[in-house]
Amino acid sequence: MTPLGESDVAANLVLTLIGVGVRVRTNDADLAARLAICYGASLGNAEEAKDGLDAELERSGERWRVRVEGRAETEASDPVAALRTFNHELMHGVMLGARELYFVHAAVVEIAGRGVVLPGLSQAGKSTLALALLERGARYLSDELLAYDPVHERALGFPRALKIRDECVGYFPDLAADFVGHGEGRFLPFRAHPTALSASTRIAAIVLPRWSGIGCTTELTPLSAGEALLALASSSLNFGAHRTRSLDCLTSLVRTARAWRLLWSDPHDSAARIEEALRAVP
Amino acid sequence: MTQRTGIDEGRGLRPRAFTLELTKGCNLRCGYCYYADREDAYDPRTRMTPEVSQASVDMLLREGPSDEPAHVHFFGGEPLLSFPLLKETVLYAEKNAAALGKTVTFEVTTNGTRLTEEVISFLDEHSIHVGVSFDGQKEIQDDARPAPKGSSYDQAVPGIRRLLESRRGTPLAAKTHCSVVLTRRSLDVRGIVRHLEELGFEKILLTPATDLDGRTNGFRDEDLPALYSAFDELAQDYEQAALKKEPVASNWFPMLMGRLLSGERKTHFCQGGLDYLGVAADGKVSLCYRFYENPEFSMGSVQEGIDRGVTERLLAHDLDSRTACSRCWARWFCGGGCHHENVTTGGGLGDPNPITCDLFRHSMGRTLEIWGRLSRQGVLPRRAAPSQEVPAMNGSQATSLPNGSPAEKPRRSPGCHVRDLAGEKVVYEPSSHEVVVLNATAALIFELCDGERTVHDIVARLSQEFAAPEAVLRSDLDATLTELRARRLLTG
Repeated sequence: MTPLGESDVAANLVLTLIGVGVRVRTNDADLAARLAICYGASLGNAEEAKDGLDAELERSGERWRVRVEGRAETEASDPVAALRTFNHELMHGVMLGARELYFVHAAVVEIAGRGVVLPGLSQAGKSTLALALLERGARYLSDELLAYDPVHERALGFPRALKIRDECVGYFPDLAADFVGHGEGRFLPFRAHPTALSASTRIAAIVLPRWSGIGCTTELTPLSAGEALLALASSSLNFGAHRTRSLDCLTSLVRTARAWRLLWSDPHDSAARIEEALRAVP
Repeated sequence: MTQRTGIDEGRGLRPRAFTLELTKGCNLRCGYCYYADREDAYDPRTRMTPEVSQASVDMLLREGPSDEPAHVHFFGGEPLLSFPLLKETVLYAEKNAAALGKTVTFEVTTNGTRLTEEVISFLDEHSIHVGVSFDGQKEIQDDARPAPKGSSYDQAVPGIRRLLESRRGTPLAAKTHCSVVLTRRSLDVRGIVRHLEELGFEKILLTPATDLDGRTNGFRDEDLPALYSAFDELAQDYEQAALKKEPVASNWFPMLMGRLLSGERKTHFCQGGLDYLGVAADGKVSLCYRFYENPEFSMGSVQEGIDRGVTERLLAHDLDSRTACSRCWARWFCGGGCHHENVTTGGGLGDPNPITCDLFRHSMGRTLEIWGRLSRQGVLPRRAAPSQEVPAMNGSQATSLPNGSPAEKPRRSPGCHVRDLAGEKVVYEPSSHEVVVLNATAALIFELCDGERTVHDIVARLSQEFAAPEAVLRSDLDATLTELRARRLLTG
């Protein structure tokens, strides 16, 4: 497959994601706009990206082709799927480019200088809770990826635009006009909602969310360090790559952080509860 | 990912346990006995000789796995009718095992009518596991297990009481159980269990009788609704007890819950024909004690060596290749049914008895429901993990081996990586990629498994930490050791 010719390129984006430079090219003007929304907070300079990854999203007729560093080449038959595949492959490419970091599927925000990690499976409420916390003044690192630097013991920002499910939009009436996209969840562009970002933070709390149903109560129950470790281990994305180092990473992480299980129904209530619990953390 | 099978390469195929037919003689004539059809059934003149029992022990010690205790299970007939041979065999095995630096454990299955002071003190002294075959209230026991003269209930109860009294509150309490055969004439299962609890049994194993041409009072299709309700009552009792974190005596549901929570994939119903074999009075080896004298399932002899043809057939009958099992959702919890029942009712090793299947699926369904409710309430873990205690899980299967002798020295697997958290321990097993968190108690036990301390030493150490009776500690320890072994955190 030949790469996009320069004359075809509708947009050329240069990004820096967790220290990895990425050159993104696409010939689809509409998708270029969406990519700018998605990665608007991670724009880098061409110098940094010189040795970085090459990522392409090419449209030919009604087919979209995703290429990341030649490694992943996937086809999609509609633009929404194309963007989802692109985001997925790019995240994997970046993770492979930052092997010294430890990755967990989790949302990460910072409240008054303290990092809060929300690990969990899809639909656990990571993004929705993160957004509710952002509305209360938290700073944003990621709604998808905890990138943990074990040397400095800090979580690094991966500030892709926050994306929530269509059915969760209703929780945020004030932001209704700002969400972009439909059908596959909605992005909150940074320019419409100037969220404060945090480049890195020390992790002070781990909150394991699970949605309890509409109108149910919110419960925040303390977890032992061991239980928190199991939760992080089961959401880990590269445990096998680090093996015993993974164990050390997670051990040091849960030793210094407090942990809770959160059964949640209303995200705003829950955000207030998390804030309150966090105030008691030294 | 760990996936356990019943046979570990090079280990399952070594004999780990023998059931010895000490005598064919029996003083009871139970209606469902699988012996009844045999030539010279119950003939007291057919006895094992000391030569045969010694050859059996020699073979076990010679050919069994070096890192696990050998297990000798005395059976009959009624094995206590051959008490002198039992005694002689125990002493012989202990002496020879010690000379080889191995341990040996013992078990006897008895109808309880011969539990004299002398017998009990010998069984206690040698830590012998006792399974009493006894069916419940007087009318039920006498109906199911008739004695030629008088009442078998009256003949058994004094000895049973003596045995339970001598073992209560000691580690031996965990090595004593009652084995009940349920028939279509005795469907008040809850009543039976309560009666046995009142007698003092702390562990009760239930086995529904197999229907053989209507003469055994085994279960038939039309009994299923009543059988389901009887087991539903047991399920209720189990759930209530589990909520209060109390043990229950009947191990039916605790056993199924244990299988669910352990993540174990049962590839065989029991270890028969694999590492648990039957030795008949004349020394012939077969798949298990139920197959003595059936040439189709004979496996050589202790005099001339074990023939593994039957094992190969068993291994060939894996569950996914069986007609009935391959379509059953519960197969990996069940293991495919008792080999003997399959052969006698279905015609072949791979043909389970549909009634047994129905009851098993019904029970497993109830177990899943209970797990759903209790795990939502935080009483049971969401996933299999020894970091969380399983309440009321005190049972093992009738066919499973007891958890080693007090002299056994468990040792942590050398490949494990361990990190300390406050009170807890994280253990990572690299070959399975499994991360396990041990709570404070399990962490202490794991720490104590240094290959130097015996199980007995560990119990003594635990009793300094926890104010619980030794028997309770021993049974908790057994459960923890089993769990640690299942996750490959211990060797042997």
